[in-house]
Amino acid sequence: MSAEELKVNGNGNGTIAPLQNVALFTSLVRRTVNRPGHLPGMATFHGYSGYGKTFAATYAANKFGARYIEMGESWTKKKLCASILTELGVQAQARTVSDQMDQIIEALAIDGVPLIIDEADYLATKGLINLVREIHDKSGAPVLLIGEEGLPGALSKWERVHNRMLDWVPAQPSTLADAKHLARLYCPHVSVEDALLEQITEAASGRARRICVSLERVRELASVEGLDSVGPAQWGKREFFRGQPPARRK
Amino acid sequence: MSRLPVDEQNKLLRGQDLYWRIIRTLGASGGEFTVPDVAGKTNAARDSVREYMTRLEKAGYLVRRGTCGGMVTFAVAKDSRFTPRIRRDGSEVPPSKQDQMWRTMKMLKRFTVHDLSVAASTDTVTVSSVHAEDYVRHLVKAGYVRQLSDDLFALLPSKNTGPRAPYIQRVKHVYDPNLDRVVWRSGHDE
Repeated sequence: MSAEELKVNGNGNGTIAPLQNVALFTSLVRRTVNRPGHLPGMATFHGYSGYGKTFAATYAANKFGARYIEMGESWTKKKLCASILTELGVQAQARTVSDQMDQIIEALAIDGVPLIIDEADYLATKGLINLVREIHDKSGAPVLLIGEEGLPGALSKWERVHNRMLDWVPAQPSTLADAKHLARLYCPHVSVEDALLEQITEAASGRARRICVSLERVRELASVEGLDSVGPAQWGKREFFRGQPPARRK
Repeated sequence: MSRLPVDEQNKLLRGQDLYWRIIRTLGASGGEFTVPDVAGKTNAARDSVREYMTRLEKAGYLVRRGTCGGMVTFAVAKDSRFTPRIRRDGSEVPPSKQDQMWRTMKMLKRFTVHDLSVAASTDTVTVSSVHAEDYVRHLVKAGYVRQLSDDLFALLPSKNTGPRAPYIQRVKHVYDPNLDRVVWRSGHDE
Protein backbone atom coordinates (compact mmCIF):
# COMPACT_ATOMS: atom_id res chain seq x y z
CA MET A 1 0.00 0.00 0.00
CA SER A 2 1.42 3.37 -1.00
CA ALA A 3 1.90 6.21 1.45
CA GLU A 4 -0.89 8.13 -0.20
CA GLU A 5 -3.32 5.23 0.16
CA LEU A 6 -2.30 4.83 3.76
CA LYS A 7 -3.07 8.46 4.36
CA VAL A 8 -6.49 8.13 2.76
CA ASN A 9 -7.42 4.69 4.01
CA GLY A 10 -5.21 4.11 6.99
CA ASN A 11 -7.33 5.93 9.56
CA GLY A 12 -10.34 3.91 10.63
CA ASN A 13 -11.52 6.64 12.95
CA GLY A 14 -12.71 9.20 10.45
CA THR A 15 -16.14 10.73 10.84
CA ILE A 16 -19.29 10.22 8.81
CA ALA A 17 -19.61 13.97 8.19
CA PRO A 18 -18.81 13.79 4.43
CA LEU A 19 -21.70 11.41 3.72
CA GLN A 20 -24.48 13.10 1.78
CA ASN A 21 -27.30 12.38 4.25
CA VAL A 22 -25.15 13.37 7.21
CA ALA A 23 -24.47 16.74 5.56
CA LEU A 24 -28.17 17.21 4.77
CA PHE A 25 -29.36 16.46 8.30
CA THR A 26 -26.56 18.43 9.98
CA SER A 27 -27.40 21.46 7.86
CA LEU A 28 -31.10 21.03 8.70
CA VAL A 29 -30.43 20.92 12.45
CA ARG A 30 -28.15 23.93 12.19
CA ARG A 31 -30.88 25.90 10.41
CA THR A 32 -33.49 25.05 13.05
CA VAL A 33 -31.08 25.95 15.86
CA ASN A 34 -29.98 29.26 14.31
CA ARG A 35 -33.35 30.28 12.89
CA PRO A 36 -34.50 33.86 13.38
CA GLY A 37 -37.03 34.19 16.21
CA HIS A 38 -40.07 34.64 13.99
CA LEU A 39 -39.53 31.39 12.08
CA PRO A 40 -40.86 27.99 13.18
CA GLY A 41 -38.39 25.35 14.32
CA MET A 42 -39.86 22.01 13.36
CA ALA A 43 -38.57 19.99 10.40
CA THR A 44 -38.73 16.54 8.86
CA PHE A 45 -35.99 14.28 7.53
CA HIS A 46 -37.79 11.56 5.64
CA GLY A 47 -37.08 8.78 3.19
CA TYR A 48 -37.24 5.11 2.41
CA SER A 49 -36.17 2.53 4.93
CA GLY A 50 -32.47 1.73 4.71
CA TYR A 51 -31.31 5.13 3.48
CA GLY A 52 -29.44 5.41 6.77
CA LYS A 53 -31.45 8.31 8.19
CA THR A 54 -30.87 7.49 11.84
CA PHE A 55 -27.23 6.59 11.26
CA ALA A 56 -26.83 9.91 9.45
CA ALA A 57 -28.55 11.75 12.31
CA THR A 58 -26.02 10.62 14.93
CA TYR A 59 -23.46 13.19 13.80
CA ALA A 60 -25.68 16.24 14.25
CA ALA A 61 -27.16 14.78 17.44
CA ASN A 62 -23.70 14.65 18.97
CA LYS A 63 -22.60 18.01 17.56
CA PHE A 64 -25.68 19.84 18.89
CA GLY A 65 -26.17 17.83 22.10
CA ALA A 66 -29.62 16.79 20.90
CA ARG A 67 -32.03 14.64 22.87
CA TYR A 68 -33.38 11.63 21.01
CA ILE A 69 -36.38 9.33 21.31
CA GLU A 70 -37.63 6.60 19.03
CA MET A 71 -41.43 6.21 18.87
CA GLY A 72 -43.06 2.81 19.12
CA GLU A 73 -46.22 1.36 17.62
CA SER A 74 -47.91 1.01 21.01
CA TRP A 75 -47.13 4.48 22.28
CA THR A 76 -49.74 6.57 24.06
CA LYS A 77 -49.58 10.23 25.11
CA LYS A 78 -48.40 9.12 28.51
CA LYS A 79 -45.63 6.91 27.15
CA LEU A 80 -44.46 9.66 24.81
CA CYS A 81 -44.26 12.20 27.65
CA ALA A 82 -42.57 9.77 30.03
CA SER A 83 -39.99 8.82 27.41
CA ILE A 84 -39.15 12.43 26.64
CA LEU A 85 -38.84 13.21 30.37
CA THR A 86 -36.50 10.27 30.91
CA GLU A 87 -34.40 11.34 27.94
CA LEU A 88 -34.27 14.86 29.39
CA GLY A 89 -33.13 13.50 32.74
CA VAL A 90 -36.12 14.77 34.73
CA GLN A 91 -36.06 12.59 37.83
CA ALA A 92 -39.37 13.21 39.57
CA GLN A 93 -41.93 12.82 36.81
CA ALA A 94 -45.41 14.27 37.27
CA ARG A 95 -48.39 11.92 37.27
CA THR A 96 -50.65 13.43 34.64
CA VAL A 97 -49.90 14.08 30.99
CA SER A 98 -50.65 17.79 31.30
CA ASP A 99 -48.22 18.16 34.23
CA GLN A 100 -45.63 16.11 32.38
CA MET A 101 -46.01 18.45 29.39
CA ASP A 102 -45.19 21.39 31.67
CA GLN A 103 -42.07 19.58 32.87
CA ILE A 104 -40.96 18.80 29.32
CA ILE A 105 -41.53 22.38 28.14
CA GLU A 106 -39.67 23.86 31.11
CA ALA A 107 -36.69 21.51 30.72
CA LEU A 108 -36.39 22.02 26.97
CA ALA A 109 -36.75 25.79 27.34
CA ILE A 110 -33.82 25.83 29.78
CA ASP A 111 -31.66 23.39 27.82
CA GLY A 112 -32.38 24.92 24.41
CA VAL A 113 -31.18 21.77 22.64
CA PRO A 114 -32.91 20.11 19.68
CA LEU A 115 -35.30 17.21 20.25
CA ILE A 116 -35.11 14.44 17.62
CA ILE A 117 -38.12 12.12 17.31
CA ASP A 118 -37.46 9.01 15.23
CA GLU A 119 -40.15 6.78 13.70
CA ALA A 120 -42.22 9.95 13.74
CA ASP A 121 -44.77 8.34 11.43
CA TYR A 122 -46.43 7.07 14.60
CA LEU A 123 -47.04 10.68 15.68
CA ALA A 124 -49.39 11.03 12.73
CA THR A 125 -51.07 7.62 12.96
CA LYS A 126 -51.58 7.99 16.70
CA GLY A 127 -52.66 11.64 16.56
CA LEU A 128 -49.88 12.59 18.97
CA ILE A 129 -48.43 15.23 16.67
CA ASN A 130 -50.28 18.09 18.35
CA LEU A 131 -48.58 17.25 21.63
CA VAL A 132 -45.23 17.64 19.89
CA ARG A 133 -46.34 20.90 18.29
CA GLU A 134 -47.26 22.24 21.72
CA ILE A 135 -43.86 21.24 23.09
CA HIS A 136 -42.21 23.10 20.24
CA ASP A 137 -44.45 26.18 20.50
CA LYS A 138 -44.04 26.63 24.23
CA SER A 139 -40.38 25.65 24.68
CA GLY A 140 -38.99 27.13 21.47
CA ALA A 141 -36.74 24.09 21.15
CA PRO A 142 -36.10 22.80 17.62
CA VAL A 143 -37.93 19.54 16.92
CA LEU A 144 -36.63 17.23 14.19
CA LEU A 145 -38.93 14.47 12.97
CA ILE A 146 -37.36 11.46 11.25
CA GLY A 147 -39.67 9.14 9.35
CA GLU A 148 -40.62 7.26 6.23
CA GLU A 149 -41.14 8.68 2.76
CA GLY A 150 -44.80 9.41 3.45
CA LEU A 151 -44.21 11.46 6.62
CA PRO A 152 -44.72 14.95 5.10
CA GLY A 153 -47.98 13.84 3.49
CA ALA A 154 -49.23 12.32 6.73
CA LEU A 155 -48.36 15.48 8.69
CA SER A 156 -49.80 17.95 6.22
CA LYS A 157 -53.28 16.89 7.34
CA TRP A 158 -52.73 19.02 10.41
CA GLU A 159 -52.61 22.61 9.20
CA ARG A 160 -51.24 23.96 12.45
CA VAL A 161 -48.43 21.43 12.30
CA HIS A 162 -47.76 22.25 8.67
CA ASN A 163 -47.27 25.90 9.62
CA ARG A 164 -44.56 25.01 12.15
CA MET A 165 -42.31 23.37 9.60
CA LEU A 166 -39.14 25.21 8.69
CA ASP A 167 -38.29 22.64 6.05
CA TRP A 168 -39.02 19.11 4.81
CA VAL A 169 -35.77 17.44 3.74
CA PRO A 170 -35.80 14.13 1.87
CA ALA A 171 -32.96 11.70 2.61
CA GLN A 172 -31.09 10.71 -0.52
CA PRO A 173 -30.02 7.30 -1.87
CA SER A 174 -26.33 6.56 -1.44
CA THR A 175 -24.05 7.56 -4.27
CA LEU A 176 -20.66 6.27 -5.40
CA ALA A 177 -19.08 9.12 -3.42
CA ASP A 178 -20.85 7.86 -0.29
CA ALA A 179 -19.66 4.30 -0.99
CA LYS A 180 -16.09 5.57 -1.34
CA HIS A 181 -16.28 7.28 2.02
CA LEU A 182 -17.93 4.28 3.65
CA ALA A 183 -15.07 2.15 2.28
CA ARG A 184 -12.59 4.48 4.01
CA LEU A 185 -14.50 4.08 7.28
CA TYR A 186 -15.32 0.38 7.09
CA CYS A 187 -12.34 -1.05 5.16
CA PRO A 188 -9.61 1.23 6.50
CA HIS A 189 -6.76 -1.11 5.62
CA VAL A 190 -8.00 -2.20 2.19
CA SER A 191 -8.02 -0.25 -1.03
CA VAL A 192 -11.38 -0.92 -2.71
CA GLU A 193 -11.35 -0.27 -6.47
CA ASP A 194 -13.91 2.18 -7.84
CA ALA A 195 -15.23 -0.42 -10.30
CA LEU A 196 -16.15 -2.70 -7.42
CA LEU A 197 -17.64 0.16 -5.41
CA GLU A 198 -19.82 1.04 -8.39
CA GLN A 199 -21.14 -2.51 -8.51
CA ILE A 200 -21.72 -2.52 -4.74
CA THR A 201 -23.59 0.79 -4.88
CA GLU A 202 -25.78 -0.38 -7.74
CA ALA A 203 -26.62 -3.68 -6.05
CA ALA A 204 -27.56 -1.80 -2.88
CA SER A 205 -30.20 0.34 -4.64
CA GLY A 206 -29.01 3.36 -2.68
CA ARG A 207 -29.40 1.67 0.71
CA ALA A 208 -26.43 2.68 2.85
CA ARG A 209 -26.98 -0.26 5.17
CA ARG A 210 -26.55 -2.73 2.27
CA ILE A 211 -23.35 -1.01 1.15
CA CYS A 212 -21.93 -1.43 4.65
CA VAL A 213 -22.72 -5.15 4.65
CA SER A 214 -21.06 -5.61 1.24
CA LEU A 215 -18.04 -3.64 2.42
CA GLU A 216 -17.82 -5.86 5.45
CA ARG A 217 -17.64 -8.85 3.08
CA VAL A 218 -14.90 -7.09 1.11
CA ARG A 219 -12.98 -6.58 4.32
CA GLU A 220 -13.36 -10.24 5.26
CA LEU A 221 -12.23 -11.37 1.80
CA ALA A 222 -9.17 -9.12 1.99
CA SER A 223 -8.38 -10.40 5.45
CA VAL A 224 -8.77 -14.09 4.55
CA GLU A 225 -6.88 -13.82 1.26
CA GLY A 226 -4.32 -11.34 2.55
CA LEU A 227 -5.19 -8.72 -0.07
CA ASP A 228 -4.22 -5.02 0.10
CA SER A 229 -6.54 -4.13 -2.71
CA VAL A 230 -9.87 -5.60 -3.85
CA GLY A 231 -11.49 -5.05 -7.25
CA PRO A 232 -13.90 -6.95 -9.51
CA ALA A 233 -11.09 -9.41 -10.39
CA GLN A 234 -10.55 -10.46 -6.76
CA TRP A 235 -14.27 -10.33 -5.99
CA GLY A 236 -15.07 -12.70 -8.87
CA LYS A 237 -18.55 -14.16 -8.93
CA ARG A 238 -19.34 -13.57 -5.29
CA GLU A 239 -22.76 -12.12 -4.51
CA PHE A 240 -23.32 -8.55 -3.42
CA PHE A 241 -25.64 -7.84 -0.62
CA ARG A 242 -29.05 -6.99 -2.11
CA GLY A 243 -31.76 -8.21 0.19
CA GLN A 244 -32.80 -7.58 3.72
CA PRO A 245 -32.02 -10.42 6.09
CA PRO A 246 -33.24 -10.36 9.68
CA ALA A 247 -29.88 -9.11 10.94
CA ARG A 248 -27.10 -7.14 9.35
CA ARG A 249 -24.52 -9.82 9.91
CA LYS A 250 -24.78 -13.53 10.48
CA MET B 1 -37.17 5.39 48.01
CA SER B 2 -39.19 8.47 48.87
CA ARG B 3 -37.89 11.82 47.77
CA LEU B 4 -35.69 13.58 50.28
CA PRO B 5 -36.25 17.23 51.12
CA VAL B 6 -33.91 19.49 49.16
CA ASP B 7 -31.63 20.07 52.16
CA GLU B 8 -31.22 16.33 52.60
CA GLN B 9 -30.54 16.01 48.90
CA ASN B 10 -27.88 18.68 49.17
CA LYS B 11 -26.10 16.59 51.78
CA LEU B 12 -25.55 13.96 49.11
CA LEU B 13 -24.02 16.45 46.70
CA ARG B 14 -20.44 17.60 46.79
CA GLY B 15 -18.18 20.06 45.02
CA GLN B 16 -19.43 21.86 41.94
CA ASP B 17 -22.70 19.86 41.89
CA LEU B 18 -23.49 21.22 45.34
CA TYR B 19 -22.34 24.79 44.57
CA TRP B 20 -24.48 24.88 41.42
CA ARG B 21 -27.53 23.55 43.27
CA ILE B 22 -27.15 26.28 45.89
CA ILE B 23 -26.60 28.97 43.24
CA ARG B 24 -29.76 27.90 41.40
CA THR B 25 -31.74 28.02 44.64
CA LEU B 26 -30.39 31.43 45.70
CA GLY B 27 -30.64 32.80 42.16
CA ALA B 28 -34.21 31.64 41.53
CA SER B 29 -36.52 34.48 40.44
CA GLY B 30 -33.61 36.87 39.92
CA GLY B 31 -32.21 36.56 43.47
CA GLU B 32 -28.75 38.01 44.16
CA PHE B 33 -26.03 36.35 46.20
CA THR B 34 -22.34 36.63 47.12
CA VAL B 35 -19.52 34.10 47.32
CA PRO B 36 -19.89 33.85 51.15
CA ASP B 37 -23.66 33.29 50.72
CA VAL B 38 -22.93 30.19 48.64
CA ALA B 39 -19.90 29.04 50.63
CA GLY B 40 -21.86 29.43 53.88
CA LYS B 41 -24.19 26.64 52.82
CA THR B 42 -21.33 24.21 52.24
CA ASN B 43 -18.45 22.79 54.22
CA ALA B 44 -16.13 23.79 51.40
CA ALA B 45 -13.36 26.37 51.44
CA ARG B 46 -14.54 29.77 50.26
CA ASP B 47 -11.72 29.88 47.68
CA SER B 48 -12.99 26.73 46.04
CA VAL B 49 -16.48 28.24 45.71
CA ARG B 50 -15.05 31.56 44.45
CA GLU B 51 -12.95 29.72 41.85
CA TYR B 52 -16.00 27.95 40.44
CA MET B 53 -18.11 31.12 40.47
CA THR B 54 -15.37 32.97 38.58
CA ARG B 55 -15.49 30.30 35.90
CA LEU B 56 -19.28 30.51 35.77
CA GLU B 57 -19.04 34.26 35.30
CA LYS B 58 -16.52 33.91 32.47
CA ALA B 59 -18.80 31.40 30.78
CA GLY B 60 -21.81 33.72 31.08
CA TYR B 61 -23.78 31.73 33.66
CA LEU B 62 -23.38 34.44 36.31
CA VAL B 63 -23.43 38.20 36.01
CA ARG B 64 -22.22 40.83 38.50
CA ARG B 65 -24.98 43.00 39.88
CA GLY B 66 -23.22 45.26 42.38
CA THR B 67 -21.83 45.03 45.89
CA CYS B 68 -23.31 44.29 49.27
CA GLY B 69 -21.22 44.99 52.38
CA GLY B 70 -18.09 45.12 50.24
CA MET B 71 -18.83 41.78 48.60
CA VAL B 72 -19.66 41.42 44.92
CA THR B 73 -23.22 40.28 44.30
CA PHE B 74 -24.09 37.92 41.46
CA ALA B 75 -27.24 36.84 39.66
CA VAL B 76 -27.86 33.86 37.40
CA ALA B 77 -27.65 35.02 33.75
CA LYS B 78 -27.96 31.62 32.10
CA ASP B 79 -29.70 28.70 33.73
CA SER B 80 -28.73 25.06 33.36
CA ARG B 81 -30.39 21.97 34.80
CA PHE B 82 -27.05 20.19 34.93
CA THR B 83 -23.93 21.41 36.67
CA PRO B 84 -21.95 23.49 34.17
CA ARG B 85 -18.42 22.15 33.65
CA ILE B 86 -16.22 25.10 32.82
CA ARG B 87 -12.49 25.29 32.17
CA ARG B 88 -10.32 27.89 33.87
CA ASP B 89 -10.49 30.10 30.76
CA GLY B 90 -14.29 30.11 30.80
CA SER B 91 -14.82 27.65 27.94
CA GLU B 92 -17.22 24.75 28.37
CA VAL B 93 -15.74 21.30 28.88
CA PRO B 94 -16.66 19.46 25.64
CA PRO B 95 -18.93 16.40 25.77
CA SER B 96 -17.06 13.24 26.70
CA LYS B 97 -16.52 10.31 24.36
CA GLN B 98 -18.74 8.26 26.62
CA ASP B 99 -21.52 10.88 26.30
CA GLN B 100 -21.33 10.61 22.53
CA MET B 101 -21.21 6.80 22.55
CA TRP B 102 -24.18 6.65 24.92
CA ARG B 103 -26.26 8.92 22.69
CA THR B 104 -25.17 7.02 19.57
CA MET B 105 -25.99 3.62 21.09
CA LYS B 106 -29.51 4.81 21.81
CA MET B 107 -29.90 5.86 18.20
CA LEU B 108 -28.42 2.84 16.40
CA LYS B 109 -30.75 -0.03 17.11
CA ARG B 110 -28.03 -2.60 16.47
CA PHE B 111 -24.39 -1.81 16.12
CA THR B 112 -20.93 -3.26 15.79
CA VAL B 113 -18.09 -1.77 17.79
CA HIS B 114 -16.86 -0.32 14.52
CA ASP B 115 -20.28 1.26 13.76
CA LEU B 116 -20.23 2.85 17.20
CA SER B 117 -16.76 4.34 16.88
CA VAL B 118 -17.55 5.69 13.40
CA ALA B 119 -20.98 7.13 14.23
CA ALA B 120 -20.01 8.54 17.64
CA SER B 121 -17.00 10.46 16.31
CA THR B 122 -17.22 14.12 15.41
CA ASP B 123 -14.61 16.52 14.08
CA THR B 124 -13.79 17.56 17.64
CA VAL B 125 -14.29 14.35 19.66
CA THR B 126 -12.92 11.16 18.08
CA VAL B 127 -13.89 7.76 19.47
CA SER B 128 -11.46 4.94 18.65
CA SER B 129 -12.58 1.35 18.08
CA VAL B 130 -10.55 0.33 21.12
CA HIS B 131 -12.38 2.81 23.35
CA ALA B 132 -15.75 1.83 21.88
CA GLU B 133 -15.02 -1.84 22.50
CA ASP B 134 -13.99 -1.21 26.11
CA TYR B 135 -17.13 0.82 26.81
CA VAL B 136 -19.45 -1.70 25.14
CA ARG B 137 -17.86 -4.64 27.02
CA HIS B 138 -18.37 -2.89 30.34
CA LEU B 139 -22.00 -2.10 29.53
CA VAL B 140 -22.52 -5.77 28.58
CA LYS B 141 -21.22 -6.74 32.02
CA ALA B 142 -23.52 -4.18 33.64
CA GLY B 143 -26.48 -5.73 31.81
CA TYR B 144 -27.14 -2.57 29.76
CA VAL B 145 -26.05 -3.89 26.37
CA ARG B 146 -26.89 -7.28 24.92
CA GLN B 147 -24.55 -9.13 22.61
CA LEU B 148 -26.65 -10.39 19.68
CA SER B 149 -23.90 -12.21 17.78
CA ASP B 150 -20.11 -12.25 17.46
CA ASP B 151 -19.93 -8.58 16.62
CA LEU B 152 -23.46 -7.15 16.96
CA PHE B 153 -24.68 -5.36 20.06
CA ALA B 154 -27.85 -3.56 21.18
CA LEU B 155 -28.72 -1.32 24.11
CA LEU B 156 -31.61 -2.82 26.09
CA PRO B 157 -34.66 -0.49 25.92
CA SER B 158 -35.20 -0.79 29.67
CA LYS B 159 -31.65 0.46 30.25
CA ASN B 160 -32.21 3.71 28.41
CA THR B 161 -32.05 5.43 31.79
CA GLY B 162 -31.46 9.04 30.80
CA PRO B 163 -29.23 11.59 29.13
CA ARG B 164 -26.08 11.10 31.15
CA ALA B 165 -23.71 8.38 30.04
CA PRO B 166 -23.02 5.61 32.54
CA TYR B 167 -19.29 5.70 33.06
CA ILE B 168 -16.54 3.34 34.04
CA GLN B 169 -15.07 4.47 37.33
CA ARG B 170 -11.38 4.29 38.01
CA VAL B 171 -11.98 1.35 40.32
CA LYS B 172 -13.58 -0.43 37.31
CA HIS B 173 -17.16 -0.06 38.42
CA VAL B 174 -19.86 1.08 36.01
CA TYR B 175 -21.79 4.02 37.50
CA ASP B 176 -25.10 5.31 36.10
CA PRO B 177 -25.50 8.99 37.08
CA ASN B 178 -29.16 8.94 35.99
CA LEU B 179 -29.91 6.38 38.69
CA ASP B 180 -27.08 7.49 41.01
CA ARG B 181 -26.09 3.87 41.36
CA VAL B 182 -23.16 1.58 40.70
CA VAL B 183 -24.57 -0.94 38.23
CA TRP B 184 -21.59 -3.27 37.90
CA ARG B 185 -18.57 -4.01 40.10
CA SER B 186 -15.46 -5.74 38.80
CA GLY B 187 -14.65 -9.07 40.40
CA HIS B 188 -18.25 -9.99 41.18
CA ASP B 189 -19.12 -11.98 38.08
CA GLU B 190 -15.91 -12.56 36.20
